[in-house]
Amino acid sequence: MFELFNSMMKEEWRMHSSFFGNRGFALFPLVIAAISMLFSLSMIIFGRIISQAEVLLGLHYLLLFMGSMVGGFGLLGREVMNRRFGQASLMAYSSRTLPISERIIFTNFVVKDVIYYFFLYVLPFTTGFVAGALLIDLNYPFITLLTTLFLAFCTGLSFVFLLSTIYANLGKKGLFLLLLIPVVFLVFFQGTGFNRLYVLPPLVLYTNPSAEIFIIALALVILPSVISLIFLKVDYPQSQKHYRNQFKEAVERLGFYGYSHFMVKDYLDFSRSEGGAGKVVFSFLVPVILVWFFLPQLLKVVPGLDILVVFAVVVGMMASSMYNWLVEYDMFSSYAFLPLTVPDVLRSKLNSYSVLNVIPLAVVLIATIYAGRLYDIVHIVLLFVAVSLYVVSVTVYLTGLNTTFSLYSAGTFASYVLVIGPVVLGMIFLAQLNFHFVLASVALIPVAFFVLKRSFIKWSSWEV
Amino acid sequence: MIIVKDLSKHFGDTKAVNNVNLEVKKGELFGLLGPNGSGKTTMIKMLTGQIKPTAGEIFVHGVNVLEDPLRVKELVGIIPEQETPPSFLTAEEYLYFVAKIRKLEDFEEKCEWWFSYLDFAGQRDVLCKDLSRGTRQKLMLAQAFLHEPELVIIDEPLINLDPLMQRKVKDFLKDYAGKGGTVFISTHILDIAREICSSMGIIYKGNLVFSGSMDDPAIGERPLEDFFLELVN
Repeated sequence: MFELFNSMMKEEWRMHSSFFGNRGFALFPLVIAAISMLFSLSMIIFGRIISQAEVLLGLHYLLLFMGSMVGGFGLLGREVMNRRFGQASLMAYSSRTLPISERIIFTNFVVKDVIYYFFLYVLPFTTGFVAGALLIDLNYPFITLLTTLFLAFCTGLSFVFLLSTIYANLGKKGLFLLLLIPVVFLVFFQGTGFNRLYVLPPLVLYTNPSAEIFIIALALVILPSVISLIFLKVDYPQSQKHYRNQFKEAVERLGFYGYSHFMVKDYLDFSRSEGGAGKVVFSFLVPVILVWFFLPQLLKVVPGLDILVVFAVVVGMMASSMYNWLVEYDMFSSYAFLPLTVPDVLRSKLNSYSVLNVIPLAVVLIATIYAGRLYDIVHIVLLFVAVSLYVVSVTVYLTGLNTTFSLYSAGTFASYVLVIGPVVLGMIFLAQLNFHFVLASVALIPVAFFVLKRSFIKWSSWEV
Repeated sequence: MIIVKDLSKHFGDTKAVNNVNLEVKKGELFGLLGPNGSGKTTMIKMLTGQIKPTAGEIFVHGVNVLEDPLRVKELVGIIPEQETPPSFLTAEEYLYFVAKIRKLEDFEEKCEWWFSYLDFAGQRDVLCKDLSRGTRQKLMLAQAFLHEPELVIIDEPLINLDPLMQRKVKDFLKDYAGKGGTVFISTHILDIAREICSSMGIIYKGNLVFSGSMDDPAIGERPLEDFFLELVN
């Protein structure tokens, strides 16, 4: 039993370090600590608009979300992992070939995830946050906060394991059940001004500690996992889908364009992979809407800030995540034996990226019109295009065709933040001096093309 | 058709391929034999310009692979060891995609022929990620011959196929070579080489320990297996 747990820990570490390098991955907790420290330091500014209760609420839900992400990877990340390693090579599937029950494997898997991600996420996050808070004379009890954030993380992880078990057992019926969750959620919070969000047991344990609430918080972690164990099913329902030749039809329509076959392939990848078009809604449009509603709050801290400029910059940065969608399910080994180079594939992805940018561009246009700033539309659109192009060029240079995993490397992530952060902040600063200075963002366009040119040279020597 | 001069590939201290010299003539069906980990796949990756050698020269179709790997990939049909067609295209869409990359006209009939010949028309509308390994292997065979190349380089051509399909593919390769095409295959299954190859090389720990025709006097009357084991032991 312990041998299996030990091997799973090694597997998880080696899997991550194979993507990022041992040192790059080992430093990742430091990056997490640095980010959370910056987060708590920013309370010097945001403390004026956010109460301590809201900060604690945000922290606990953030960790709940992180736990859900870790748990969700078992469900949603299968395509990526199977593509890279093949199902049979992961220890989670070893009951197929070794005399070990799936329950024992799953129990080890959950315990491994809990411990592994405690050290990778929860501990560095809490340490960074508390250390940053101390610097601005805010005192959080470290052990208490670590415990309650860890419980929030485990709640998210355990809950998503339960959802994946429901999905594995019930298939499409399970999906309907999952769709009911947001409905129940909405009914629960209707007319309460979201105050009920504060009933999250780990958060209550922090604010009003008691043995009862500790037991409830613990039960919320243990019960979903135990239920998942009882109804455990490793193989997910999968049906072999059949599709008519959409590639032929679409390429014929777009035949005038040299990269049409790549763009059609990217579109089909995007629409047929798990999540489909929902990815646009949940990983782009929802965060953009949240940003739009949050930005006016910044005016309380930085009076006179041009919200539309900040919005165009933020959307330009968020748009670059679409490049990640495009490269997520592709590997160059699929092309290495065809008359194509890595730069060819990168160019094709950038073409598709340009087309996908119609979505954030539309968002920026709508926001400009909504803000009654139609006369500023040229400035705002130019700013958005320049930022989007610049950020994606840096992304391509640093990560090539392996964006998802490369940004987990401490060095790559730090470079990414350092190269992009000052530039976008500089743009916002210039706009504060004089709105017309936004036009200086046009200088980012040749810079982006230069970075892309260097990227093609850099990645052309990459071998499969 | 293929000329290899003093070719080496080192990964750190590991000499995956060590000072190999080799020539494969037009119309030959050449088998590169060797145990697992002997350097076969590394050789194929260098021949097809997928990785760069540490030292040496390679000419394929008269093209210097180091100078113009893209041209080599245009001219040659290549089937890699691991069948990795993109996940979310169907089998048919993948062949169309390859045809577009290779800028082919009138390829639809050829696709039909391959679906029919390798008996996987029923899976043409299934996503590549959902295909069995055998069907993916058929798909990779079809894509490699779609542009009717004069040279095809195949890493383990029959490993995932059932006996019926193995027979068909062997017949096809022999017929193809008989009509002037050149085939370079790597395999560790000696029976395949004995049955279809006109010449062979044996690679062991990165060194080419034998190169010659299947009738080479060095082999004599012995079974190929005995000859192979003598060389690699």
